[in-house]
Amino acid sequence: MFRKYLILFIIFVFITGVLSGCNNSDVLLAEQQILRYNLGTEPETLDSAKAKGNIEFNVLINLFEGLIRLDATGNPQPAAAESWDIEDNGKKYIFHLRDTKWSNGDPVTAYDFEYSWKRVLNPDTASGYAYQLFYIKNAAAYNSRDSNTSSDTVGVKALDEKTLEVTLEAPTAYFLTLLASPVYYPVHKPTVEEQGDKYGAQAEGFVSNGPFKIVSWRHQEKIELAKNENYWDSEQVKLSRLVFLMIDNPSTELAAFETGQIEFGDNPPYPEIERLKQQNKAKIASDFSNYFFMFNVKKPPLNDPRVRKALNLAIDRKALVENVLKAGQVPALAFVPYGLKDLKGEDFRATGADYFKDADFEKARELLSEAGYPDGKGFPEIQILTNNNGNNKPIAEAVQQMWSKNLNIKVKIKVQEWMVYLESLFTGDYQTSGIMWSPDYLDPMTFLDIFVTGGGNNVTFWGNKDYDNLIETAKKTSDLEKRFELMHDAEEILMEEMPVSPIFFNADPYMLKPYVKDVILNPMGWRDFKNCWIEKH
Amino acid sequence: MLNFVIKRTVSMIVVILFIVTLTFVLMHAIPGSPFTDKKKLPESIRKNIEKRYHLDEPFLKQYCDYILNMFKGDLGLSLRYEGRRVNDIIKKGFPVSATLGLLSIFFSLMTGIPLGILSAIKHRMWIDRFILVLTTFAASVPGFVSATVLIYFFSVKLGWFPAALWGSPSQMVLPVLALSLYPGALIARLMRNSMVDVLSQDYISVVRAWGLPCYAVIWKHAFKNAVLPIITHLGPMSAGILTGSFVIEKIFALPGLGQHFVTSIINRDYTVIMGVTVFYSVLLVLMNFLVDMVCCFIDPRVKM
Amino acid sequence: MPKITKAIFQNVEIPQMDCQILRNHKVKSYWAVVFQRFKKNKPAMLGVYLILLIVIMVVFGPVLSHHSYSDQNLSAANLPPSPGYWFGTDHLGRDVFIRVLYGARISLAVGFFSSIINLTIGVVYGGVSGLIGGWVDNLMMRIVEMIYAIPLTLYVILLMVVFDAGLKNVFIAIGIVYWLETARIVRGQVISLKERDYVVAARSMGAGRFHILFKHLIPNCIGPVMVTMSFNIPAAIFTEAFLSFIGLGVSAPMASLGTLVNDALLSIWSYPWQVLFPSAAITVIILAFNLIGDGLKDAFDPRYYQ
Repeated sequence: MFRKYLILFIIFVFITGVLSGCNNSDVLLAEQQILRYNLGTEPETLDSAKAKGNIEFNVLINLFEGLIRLDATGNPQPAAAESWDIEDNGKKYIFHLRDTKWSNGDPVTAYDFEYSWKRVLNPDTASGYAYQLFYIKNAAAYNSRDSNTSSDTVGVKALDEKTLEVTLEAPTAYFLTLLASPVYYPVHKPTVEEQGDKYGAQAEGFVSNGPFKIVSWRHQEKIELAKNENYWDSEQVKLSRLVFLMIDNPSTELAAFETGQIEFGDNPPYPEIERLKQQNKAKIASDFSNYFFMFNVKKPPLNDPRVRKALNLAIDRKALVENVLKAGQVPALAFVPYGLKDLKGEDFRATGADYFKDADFEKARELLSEAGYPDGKGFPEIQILTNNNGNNKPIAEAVQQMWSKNLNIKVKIKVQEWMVYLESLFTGDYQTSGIMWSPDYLDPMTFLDIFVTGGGNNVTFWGNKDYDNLIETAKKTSDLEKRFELMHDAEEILMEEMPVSPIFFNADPYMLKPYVKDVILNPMGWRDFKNCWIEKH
Repeated sequence: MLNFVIKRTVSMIVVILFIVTLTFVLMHAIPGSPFTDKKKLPESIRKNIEKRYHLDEPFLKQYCDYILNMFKGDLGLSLRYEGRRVNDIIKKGFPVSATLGLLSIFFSLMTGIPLGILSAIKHRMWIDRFILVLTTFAASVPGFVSATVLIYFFSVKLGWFPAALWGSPSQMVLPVLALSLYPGALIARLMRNSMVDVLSQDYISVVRAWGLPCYAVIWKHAFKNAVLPIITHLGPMSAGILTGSFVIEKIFALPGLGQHFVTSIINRDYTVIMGVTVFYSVLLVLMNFLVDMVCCFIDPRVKM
Repeated sequence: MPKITKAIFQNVEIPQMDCQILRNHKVKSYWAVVFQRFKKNKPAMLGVYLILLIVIMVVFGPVLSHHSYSDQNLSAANLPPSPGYWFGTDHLGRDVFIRVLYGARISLAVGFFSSIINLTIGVVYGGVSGLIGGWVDNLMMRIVEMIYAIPLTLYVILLMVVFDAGLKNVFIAIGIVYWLETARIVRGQVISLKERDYVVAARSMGAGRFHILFKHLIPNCIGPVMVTMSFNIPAAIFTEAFLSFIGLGVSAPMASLGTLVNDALLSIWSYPWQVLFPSAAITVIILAFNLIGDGLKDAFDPRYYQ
C-alpha cells in the first residue's frame, strides 16, 4: 500500500516537474527574441573570401556555416560536415557533409566548398586572407600565378555531392580549427556570379547557409539578420532578429548600453571596466591574444641579448595589469598564452614553464652592468615607438617610467599615426614597441612562427638557426606529440634570446545584459549567436 | 549676370583640378597603403590586390585615369569597402550630413541672431557681458567634449534623448545641439558687433530722432544692414560645420559623410579621400557662390 | 513725440585727451591713444590679466609643486582632487594639476607659434599682392579664393600624417594652412595705404618698393593684424584639440590640453575631474584671447569714440 502511494507520489512529482519545467521555459523566454549587438564599425565586406578582421567575422559567423564551428573553448565541432576521416598521416582529410540548405532552399554541396575555396585562391579575386588556405596542396603556387599550376591542381576536390577531399602540403594539426574561420566558408555560386563586384557589399540577394540570413544592410548604420528557417539546426536558433549596430566611440557605446539601445557591446572604455565589473554589467571572456614588446635587434644597444633581458626584467607586469589596465589581463612570463591545448588536452602554457620572474629589478641591473652599463651609465637613450590605438599609449608610458626608474636609463616615447607606425615597424625604423598579437588559429604555432628568420611579421629582425629548424620540423612532422615538444624548445630559445619581451596575456572584456543567455564567445574573439536567447525580464 | 556665372564656373573647374592634384600628390606621400595591416600581407597577395585596383600602374597614369573618370562623374571603387562605389558612399552619407548641417545652421541662426541683437541693444550692460561670456564659453569647448557631456547628461542621467544612432527626430536633438554650439556662438558675436556698428551710424540716429520705437528701428532699419556680414560668413561657417560634423557623427554614430572625411585618411582609402575632397570642394564653391548671390540680392551696393 | 526719459540718454566720456593736447601742446602718439582706449576696456583688461596669470602659472607653477608631469605612481591612479593632488591624478597616477599646467604651456605654444607662422605667410603674401597690384594682385587673390574653397581641415590632417605627429609639426601644419584671412586683411590695408601722401613722398624720394612695404606699409597694418592674431591663437588651440581627437595632436610624453581632454574622455563616467580641469583650462584661455581680441578691435577702430 505504502509502496503504491510512494510510486504514485514519485510519478506525481515527476509529472509536475516535467510540466513546470515546460512551463518554466515558456516563462523564461522573453516574447521578443531580438538582440542588438554593437559591432563597432562598418564591416568592410560580407564576402567571406575577402573578410579579414573580427568586425566582418562576427557578422559572417552568424550568417554562414563552415565545415566546422568552434565551441566556447575553441574546440572544433561538426557543422556542415557531419564527420571526417583523416588519412595519409594527417595529409588528407575526407569530409562527409550533412544534408543542409542555403537560405534560398538550394542544397549545400561539396562542390560549393570546392568552388568557394578555389575562388579565395584565385589571384584575380585578390583575397587578402588567402594565405590562410596555403596549407592546401598547391594553393600558394596557384595564388601567386605560378604557371605550372592551375585551379585543377589545388588539393581540394568534391568527390560527390556530399564528400569533399582535401589534400594538404604537410600534416597540419590545427587544420580542423582553421576550417571554422570565415575564409573557409562556402559561398553561393549563382549569387556570386550574378553580383560580381557587388557581392558582399549589399544585403539584396545575399544567400547564406548559417543560423541567420541577412535582411537589410544600411551602410554605416546597421545590419539586420533574421532567423534562417532553412538552416539544418534551426530548432536551436531562438533569436528571431539579430541587429548589428555601428557605434565607434567607446563612451557612446557605454551610454547606448546603459540607456538600453544595445544589449551587447564589445568595447567598454577601459577606465570604466573595473566599475562595470563591480556593477555586474561587464564580464571578461578569455582571449588568446598576447601583448609584447619587440626589440629591433638591428639597433644597438638592443643587439645585446643581455640588454634585452635587462629591459624585460625591469618591467613590473603585475603593477601594470592591476593598476593601469584592470581588465583581467594576466602578467606574461612566457610567450605563448594560456588556453592553447596540446594532444592530451593539456594547456600548452601550463605544461611549459615560466621563463623569468616578474619585476626582477636586481637581476635586471646585474645584466645591464654585465652588458657594460653599470647603473645605466653610458646607456644611450632609447625610444619606445607607439600609437594611439587601444591602450598602447598608456602601456608605453608605464613601461617608459619602469625602465627609466629601475635601470636608471633615459627612455623617450614617440607616438605615430597607426599606419605610419606600421610602416616604421615593417621598415625597421624603430627601437622598441609594444604590440598586441591575436592568433590566426588555435595553436601555439600561430605565435611561434612569427619569429623565423626573415618572416614577414618578424620585425625584430632577429634570426636563429636552431629556432628556424625547430619550427620547420614541427610544421612538417606527423608525430604530433613530438611537435609540441619542439614548440616548447623553440619557445625556450625565444625567451633565452629575448627579441620580444612578453607583457601580458590579454582578456576580452564585454558588456552584456544579464538576460541575454548562451552567447558563444570563443577565444578568437568571435561572437556566435546561434544558441543565444533572451530571458524574460 | 551670365558673365558672372561663366566666370565662376571656369574658376571652379580650375579650383577642382588644383585640389585634385594637390590631394592626389599629398595622399600618395603619406606612409602606408590601403592594404597595410598589422599582419603583413605576403608579397604575392599584395601584388594580386594592387593589380585588382590598378595601383601597380605608373603614378601619372593613375592620376590621368582618375581625372578622366572624375569628369565622367565616376569617382571609382572604394579600396577599403569592398565593392562599394564612392558615388554610392557619398549618395548614402551626404543626406544625413546635410540634414545635420542645415538643422545646425538653422538652429544657430535662430539662437545666435536674437542673442546678438539683444547684446547690441544692451551694449556694455551686464546682459551684454553675460551673453559674451556665455557665447565664448560655448565657442571654447571642443566639440568632442560637449558632445560627450551632452550624452552623459541628457541621455544617461536624464534620459530625455537617445544616446546615439540616427533616424527619429529625437535622435537628432543632441547632435544638432552639439554641432550648433560653436557656429551659434560665432553668429551671436558677429551679430552683436555688426549691430553695434550699424546702430552707431548717422541714419539710425536720424530714425531714432524721429521717435520710432526701438523694435522698429532695429527691425526695419538696422537689421537688414547688420545681418549682411553674417551671410558672408555663412560660407566659411558651413565649411566649419562640415568638418565639425566628423566629430559629431563619430561620437553619435551617425551614418553621415563627415565620418569618411577623416576615416578615409586613417584607412588610406585613396578613392574615398579623393571623392570626399572633390565633393566637399564643389559644395563649398557653390555655397560661396550662393552667398554672393544672396548678398547681391539684399544689398544692391555689392557688385557682381 | 517720444517721451523723454532717462533711458534714452547715454553717459558720454569727456574727451580728456583733447584737453590734454591743448594744455600740453604735446600730441600723443597713435599707439598711446590705442593703448589708452584699450586700458579703459574692462573685459579686455580682464583678458590680459587672465593671460598674464596663466603665463605666470605655466612658467612658475611647476616649480611650486613637488610633482612632475611625467612621474607616475601606479598605486595612486585615478585619485579624486585632494590637498596632495589639487586636481586629482590620472590613470597612471600622474598629478593632473601639473599636467594641465604643462598642457597649457603646449597649447599656448601651439597657438602662438602657429599664428606667427600664418602671420608671416599672410603678411608677406597680402603685402606683396597689395603692393604690386595689377595682374599679379589679381592672380594672387584668385589663388586665395581658390584655397578658400578647399576643405582645409582635410589638409591639416593630411599634413599631420605626412609629417609625423610632434610639436613642431603641429605648428607648421596649422600655420601653413590658415593664413588666408590675414593675407586678405593685409592686402586691403596695403591698398588703402599705398596712395597716402607719406608713401607717395617716400616713393618720390626714391625708396624701393620693398623698402616701402616693410618700412611704411606693414607697420601700419599692425592694428588689424594684431586683431586677427588674437582670434587666430584660440582657433589654433582649437584645431590642435580637434587633431588630438583624431589622435594626431601633440604626442607623449608631452600632452596638450586637447590631448589631455581626449585621453580623459574615456573615463568621464568615473573620473570626471580628469576631463573637467583641462577643458576648463582651454575655455579660460580661449575666453581670455577673445576678450583681448574684442578689446583690440575696439581700440584700433577709429569709430570707437565717434
